[in-house]
Amino acid sequence: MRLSLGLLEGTRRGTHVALLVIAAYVLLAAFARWVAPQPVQDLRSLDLMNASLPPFWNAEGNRAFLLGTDEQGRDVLSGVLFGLRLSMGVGFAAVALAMLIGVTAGLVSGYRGGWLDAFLMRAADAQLTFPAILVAMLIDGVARSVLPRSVHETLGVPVVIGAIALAQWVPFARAARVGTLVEREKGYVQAAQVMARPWGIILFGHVLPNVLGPIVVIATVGLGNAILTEATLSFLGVGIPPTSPSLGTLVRNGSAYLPSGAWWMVVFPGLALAGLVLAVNVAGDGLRDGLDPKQRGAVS
Amino acid sequence: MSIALEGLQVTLRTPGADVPLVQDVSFRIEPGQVLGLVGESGAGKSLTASALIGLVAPPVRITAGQLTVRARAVSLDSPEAIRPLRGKEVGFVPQDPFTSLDPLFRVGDQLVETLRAHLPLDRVAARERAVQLFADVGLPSPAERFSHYPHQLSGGMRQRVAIALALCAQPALVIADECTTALDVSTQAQIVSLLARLVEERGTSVLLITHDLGVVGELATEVAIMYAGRIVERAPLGPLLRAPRHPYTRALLDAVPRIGGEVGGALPAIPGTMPRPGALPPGCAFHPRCPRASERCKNERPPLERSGDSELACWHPLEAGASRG
Amino acid sequence: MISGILTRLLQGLGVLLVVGLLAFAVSTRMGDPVNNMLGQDATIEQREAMRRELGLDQPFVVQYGRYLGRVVRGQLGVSYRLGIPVGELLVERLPASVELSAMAMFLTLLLGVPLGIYTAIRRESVLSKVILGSSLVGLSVPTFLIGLLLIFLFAVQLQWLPSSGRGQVVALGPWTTGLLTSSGLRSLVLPSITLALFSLALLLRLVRGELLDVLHSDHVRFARARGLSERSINFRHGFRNALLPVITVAALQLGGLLAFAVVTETVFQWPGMGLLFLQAVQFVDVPVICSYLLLAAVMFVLINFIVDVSYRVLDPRVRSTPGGS
Repeated sequence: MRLSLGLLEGTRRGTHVALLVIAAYVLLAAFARWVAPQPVQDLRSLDLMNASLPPFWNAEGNRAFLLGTDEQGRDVLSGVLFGLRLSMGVGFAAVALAMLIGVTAGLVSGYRGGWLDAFLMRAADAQLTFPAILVAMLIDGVARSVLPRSVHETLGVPVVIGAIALAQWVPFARAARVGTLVEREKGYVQAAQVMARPWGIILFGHVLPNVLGPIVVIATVGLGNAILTEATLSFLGVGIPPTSPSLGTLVRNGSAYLPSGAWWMVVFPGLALAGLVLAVNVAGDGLRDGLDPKQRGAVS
Repeated sequence: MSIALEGLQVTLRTPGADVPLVQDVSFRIEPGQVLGLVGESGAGKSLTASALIGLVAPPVRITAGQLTVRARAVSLDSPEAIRPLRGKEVGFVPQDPFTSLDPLFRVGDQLVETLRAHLPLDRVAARERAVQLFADVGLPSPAERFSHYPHQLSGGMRQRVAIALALCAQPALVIADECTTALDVSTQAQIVSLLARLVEERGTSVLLITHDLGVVGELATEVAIMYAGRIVERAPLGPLLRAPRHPYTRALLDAVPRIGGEVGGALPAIPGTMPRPGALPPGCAFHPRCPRASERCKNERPPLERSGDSELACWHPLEAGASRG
Repeated sequence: MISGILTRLLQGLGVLLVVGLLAFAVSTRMGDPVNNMLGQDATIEQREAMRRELGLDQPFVVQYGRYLGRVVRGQLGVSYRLGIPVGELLVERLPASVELSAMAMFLTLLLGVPLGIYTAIRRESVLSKVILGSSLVGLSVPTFLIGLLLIFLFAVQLQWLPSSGRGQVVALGPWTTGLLTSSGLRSLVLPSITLALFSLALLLRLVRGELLDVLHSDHVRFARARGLSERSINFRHGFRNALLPVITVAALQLGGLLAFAVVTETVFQWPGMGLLFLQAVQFVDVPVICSYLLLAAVMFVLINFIVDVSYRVLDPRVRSTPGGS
């Protein structure tokens, strides 16, 4: 008799809080245009007189710019809100794409087997020897040099999304493949095969839903990683083009002014970023505990 | 020296309410006797076994119970009190020999480690004793097997090793928790006869947890039937098999296919399922599935009553002396 | 076992060849070396001469073969950006990266393993919860932010430690070390803490997770049932079993450290290979990019290989299976 014990009270509360925080982030980002005090993309709204102001609670601060301004007079709070959109958008898109590529590859590989399976798994293994950041950097760098300069601006974001996705597809593929190998032997699959249903339908209609559990867990971890990777790439200057800055770009810009004591340009975007990833990680942890069939502490 | 368990109560502590999992389980086992504890999955038999060695982890807790072994009475709700008994007074043979042995250590070393944890033996003496024990449990080429890793042994050999580990400090009570379930039929038979021999040689008391009535028939001297966390019938083996008094026992026995019996016709199964802990019906827990249930059964839980060397908890027991058809 | 190791070795070589091929293929597509070396104003004749000199008129396979030949001899080309042979550049920058990564790895192991064990054994304590919470934060805060904040606090505000560079280094043959000077050591503090934080948090959680898994496994349960001491269970049976996956991941994390070093080196302007790679990517300095990738591939393959071999040594189950898994 295996007792299914619920989450401990503390964890459950933490997960709820995290989900609320994520929801808040999403809302703020979605409505940034209306919430942000200053439309920072609009260069005409900038006034150099307002440059490098500290947050409003500081003596030299200005109530109009709650979290201070950067060296061009751009409101930090507004910058953070718009940057959030990019950071979250790219993160979600990258994970979704990685999941799409990886799960498809894993499902097909596990189901069909043979040389396709061997090839994909060797490729995956080879890629795994490299940390994702390097892979992303490399793909980004390659794309950057291969594409003509004029296209850089418009394609900047998709390239970054693609780079991160290509760096992260392997865990999805592995999990999908393992799950498929297990499910393949089960009765319902063999029944469907006997009924001569096309293998695509068997794969995506029958096997996929049963394999989703671990994939969702990987997705939550992957989301946090994707957001961090994008921020890191932008910080290093090989990410999103600086015309529409993400949180990483904001930190990069602000870091030049750190030695002179202008901490707010770095801290607030950084905190926003860390808060988002922390919320995603906590929610992911909670989700994992909820989906994990292993019970720690029960006795059969 | 007999083993006595009194009033075992195991509860699941949840923030909402306390859910009783095992209630008021008591029995006595004489030396050399085997008590078979039988029931469906979820009845609480494995939990009972775990409780006897205090291997119950929060939020499941032992809330009451006293175990008397070798004239020592131990309160089971205190983990510190139980710990010294493990291995020394009470031995435990686990269900799955595949996962119960540490894969990184040689089986001989694991036995030596256990021996030295309980007995004042030096390395050499412990090794000799270990090889002797391996021979006792029927392990072929014991001296050679000493240096093998668990994955190098077959299932049957692993179970023999597990039995050796359980018995090495000569406990008064051995709990065998479904220890033949993971084995194939022929290996099962070997292990069963091994256990029978060991019991006879050493005079140990055995609590045999199983859902397999065949094993019970081979090994047990007395049988207790568990349902929804309580014992509902207990009797010596012969009388129980020949003339069960509780309808549930009867249904269990009827559900076992018999070689040489009638061919054709449906295999009698017990309709419905055993209620989950915390969702017990009022009155007798078995009444929704019982063909003999009456109004009284629905409202009043029958107490476990003793008569002679048997116990029974039923308002409308089958007639004593009525044999199986 | 030998055949298993050989297989792994060949696989590693295969990966290297593939990476080399990719690096080479990319390098021929990324930019025009003739342009880069001669500039825009060269005449057609000069370009043709250059092409022949560089062997760019030969078929792809031949070029690749020559490339491999040069690589093996240590001739990795000349940096487009700096005009210095790549080999020299790498040798010059290698010590900085190695010392930084080694120090970070040291910190990771020093703190990660004990803290992970502690949080597994003492699950309920307040300290455990604090440590776990901090580890979650450590995983969520980007490395560059930590570096910047540390710089702001310790270098700008408190002025205790330098904010960039390696300090004074001492040359020992081809190697330069910052460990022998006080300024060198002080410069190492902030960058290594920054680099270590993420992998420390990861390792801690991993150790905890694996140890918890093992401590709830069947064989640990059986070990408890046999009456072995908690200490023996935790360290002999618990930790040793958890060690295997931990070693694997820890070694792989070393690879991660080398990657994340890019960020840390950027923040602290640490003159290592990571910073070199970043500048090469920004500038599209193809020879440096390719050589760095090859070097990274060699290191990772080597690390993976060593991990594989040690797994075979430590896990008896893998040893006896021909070819391993």
